[in-house]
Parts: sequence; structure tokens; C-alpha cells
Amino acid sequence: MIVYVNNTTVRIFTGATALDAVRRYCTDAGLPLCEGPFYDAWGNQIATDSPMCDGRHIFTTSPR
Amino acid sequence: MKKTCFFSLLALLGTALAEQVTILGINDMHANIDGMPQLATCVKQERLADPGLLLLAAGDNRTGNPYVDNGNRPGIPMVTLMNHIGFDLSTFGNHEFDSGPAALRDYVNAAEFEFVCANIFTTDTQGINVKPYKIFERNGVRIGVLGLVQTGDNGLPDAHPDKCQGLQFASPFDTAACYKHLRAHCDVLIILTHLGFEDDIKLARMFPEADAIVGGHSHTRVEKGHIENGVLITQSENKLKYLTRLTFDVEDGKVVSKKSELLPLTGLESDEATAELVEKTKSLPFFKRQLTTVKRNITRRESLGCMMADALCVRAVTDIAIVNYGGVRLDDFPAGPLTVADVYRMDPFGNAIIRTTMTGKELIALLESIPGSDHHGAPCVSGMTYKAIKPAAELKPMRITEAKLADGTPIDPAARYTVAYNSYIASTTSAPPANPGIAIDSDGAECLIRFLEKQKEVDYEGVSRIEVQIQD
Repeated sequence: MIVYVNNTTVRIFTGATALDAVRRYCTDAGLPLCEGPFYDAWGNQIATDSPMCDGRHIFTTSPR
Repeated sequence: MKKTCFFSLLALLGTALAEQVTILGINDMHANIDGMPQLATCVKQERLADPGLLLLAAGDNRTGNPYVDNGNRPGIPMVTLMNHIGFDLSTFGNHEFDSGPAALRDYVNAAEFEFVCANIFTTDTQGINVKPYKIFERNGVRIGVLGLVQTGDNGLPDAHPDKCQGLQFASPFDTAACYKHLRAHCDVLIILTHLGFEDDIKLARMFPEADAIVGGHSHTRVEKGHIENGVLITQSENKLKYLTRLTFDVEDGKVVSKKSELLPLTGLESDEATAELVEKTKSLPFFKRQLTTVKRNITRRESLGCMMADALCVRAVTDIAIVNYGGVRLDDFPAGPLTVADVYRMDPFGNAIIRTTMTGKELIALLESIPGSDHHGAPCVSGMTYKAIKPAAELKPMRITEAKLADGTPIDPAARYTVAYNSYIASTTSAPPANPGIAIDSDGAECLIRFLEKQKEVDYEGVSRIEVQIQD
């Protein structure tokens, strides 16, 4: 499954949460693990266990 | 329902009075029963202001708490608490299906409120009493609520397909299009969804006839309500952190203004009667249940890790399973009874279990990477053994010098193996396999419970499958 974290493509397992996706993003980018808060494309905060679906965009800082 | 006489002079002249409709929406409670006493307090306060308000749940009421999910009647403790607080209606979330159709029937039938979901199709023999929508009437105002649940690429909600056997689902969007006629029969039209915020936006774009969407699934905190195509979209994150209050001013059968706000629940005083009910639920003997007997004292953490890895291997039906050393939270275990509570002490994380396939080369690279991200020791395994050299410096990668399957056959770098491991490994390894895999319908603790309860006795003392040489 492909999702986008901070507009970067991230490959994650099917059934992953926002936290799994951000951890994968941080590991791939060599960044320290970020444990939240996370945001959607509209600037709403989402829970770390928010379920991911293919193509979803999430952000580690508010896009607004 | 409150009567708001903004313009009493106009009223005297015969113009219709504005009615105020209050809807309270909550979603993704995920069996967080400890938050229910605060919810009860908040709802009571709101009912003082408007006794006719409607309390709606947008699905995933259950799943997330062993007291609720793993008892003899899965989900029922949550329904009991929802009955007590006086919910008016719920839709299904994908996790309502987690225990299969028979448990779903029991869950729905135990509810003193109704379930609405327009895109599920059940047969009479299944006995799952669900309607597509419900129209309430409060002080002459008709409030329609249409229910919808998300479906994935396989046409089913995101639950294990085996748990949806015999149930049929349609696309929530195609289904919604068939219910636009409800607008003519309602003064306020709400869609109670479990689709996720992004799909609620999509729904609002195709269904401007709705006044509001009370949503769930994506655990999104929508602070002040989002207006899309004229439709108010709300969601209150998850696990009873917030409740959303929606208010509609209705004049002459039309909504003339609407707004929503989040009401924080954490920190509120507990409702005593609800707290007592929660304590009663938690007094159930679930955690005290003995699963098996440990034959001899288990004196090494690695041996416990081997037992946990064996449980994953069996549950996920894989050749190999991996448990990170930091994922084993006990160093030893005494001979004697092993209970459900002990399992949660061993693995308290609730990490999802991933099943995937990978080559032997990928497997070795994955194992070598794990100590670097786990910051603990070499990973525990099932279905294989290995020898490795690990530099003393924590972050330096481990190097595997020999790896064999359980029968002694060397791991073939080119062969493919099925492998299970937890979501923490999947998300933090610097050497992920090409196939990211799929989360199975289980977490580590649940795998271990199922594994142990089938065995009268276990003996893991001295079990060791890894040999690590620490190098300066």
C-alpha cells in the first residue's frame, strides 16, 4: 500500500496506522521517530492509530 | 429541542418559530470503557439543556479492549454501557464485524437503540436487525439519519473476510445516491458514516442534499466542523476524547443555520452509576483465566521470546516468525499457572501482526537490521535458528554468519519464505522486504493467548535458537 507522508511516497503494509506510516517515513528518511501529532490534508489533527488507506496523505506538521 | 424565539414580534405576526435541533455525535469509541463515565456526565449536562437531543454513534464502538472484545459475548459490555447512557442510534464501523455474524447479531439485539446502515445486506435468517435509515420526530421537526459503512478494495469493510461471511455490502457512494429522496421526507438530514474524513468530503460533494455528515473511521479531530459543498462534516477523533455537538436552526421545515463544536470529555467528572457499571465489567474474570501451565521455571528472556514467536508462526501460518527482543517485556517466568494477565504483561503493546513473503536474502537483512531499530538484543525467532556477530556499540548492525530452518536446512538466499512479525518491526526496520505484507486480524497478545490455551502444559526452559557473539 502506498501512502504519502509530508508529500513523500511511503510503502507500508496493508492495515497500517498513521503511526506505522510515519515511522516508516522517518526510518526511510533517516529522521528521529516522530510519535505525533499528525494531520490530514485539511489540517485536522488525526489520532496516531488512524487507519491508513491507499493514497492517503498525512503530515507531521499541519499543512495549514 | 429548544425553541429559539429570536424575533418574537415576527412570531406574533404568525411567522413560523425557529426550532433548534441538537445532535450529539461520537465515533470510534473502540471499547474505551474507562471514558464512558465522562461521556455520561457530558450527555446528562447536554440533556438538561435539550432533553430532545439525539445521541448518535458513527461506528467502531467496540474493539480495542480485551474486557469488551474477548469475553463470552464480544462487544456486549460496550452495548450495555451505551444502553445505560441512552444512545439513540448507531451505524456499523468495520470493527463491528470483528467477531463474525453470530456475535454481530447478539450485539445488535442487545442494543436498546437501533443500528442504521444502508449498504449492508443481511438475510432474515441471520437475524441482524439493521435498517438503512431512521426518521425521528422532535417537536414536529423530522430528523432523518442514513447510515453507511466503508468498504475496501475487496468490497467488504476492513475486517477479516471470514468474519463477514454471509453478509453482503454495496459501495457506500452508490448506495447513498439511492437515498436522496429522504430529503423530501426530512427537515434535517444527517448521514451517519463510518467512511473516514476524506470519503466524507467525497460524499458531501455528491450529496449536497444532506445537512450534515457525522463521520468516523479516520479518527480525525474536526474542531469546528468542516463545510464541504454546503454539508457540515464532523468527527470527534477516537476513544472518547471528545463528543461533537451539532446544532441546527430549523424554520419552515428548512435548516437555516448549522454549526458544530467539540466538547472535551477528558477531565470531566465521572458519572457514578456509569462508573459502577464499568467496574462491574472489569470485575469479569477474563484476565484471571488460566491458559496453560508452565512446567519448569523459564529463566531467560530469549526463551519467552521463542514462545511468543512460535505463537505468531502458528497464528499467521508462516514458515518463520520474528519477535524483537524489546517486544518481550518479562525476563523470566515461574513454573505454574500462566494467565491472560501474564500474556498482557509479556506483550502489552497491541502491535498488529504482519504476514508477508520474502527471500532468504531479505530475511537475513531484516534480522540483521532489527537490533539497530529496537535498541535491544538480537531478535527471537520461530521456525529457524541463527548465529550472529554483534558489535558492542548499540547502533551498529548485527551480522548473521549462519542461518538454518528448524529442520537444519540452510536458509537459501534465493528461496521465498512466509514470515510473520509485528508492526513495530515492519515500520522501523532499515531493511524492509519488497513486499510490505498484510496485517492479520490479530495482535501479539491475542496470538499468544490462542497458542497457549490449546496446550495443557508448556516447557520453554532452555529453549534457545540464536547464538550471538558480542564483538568489541
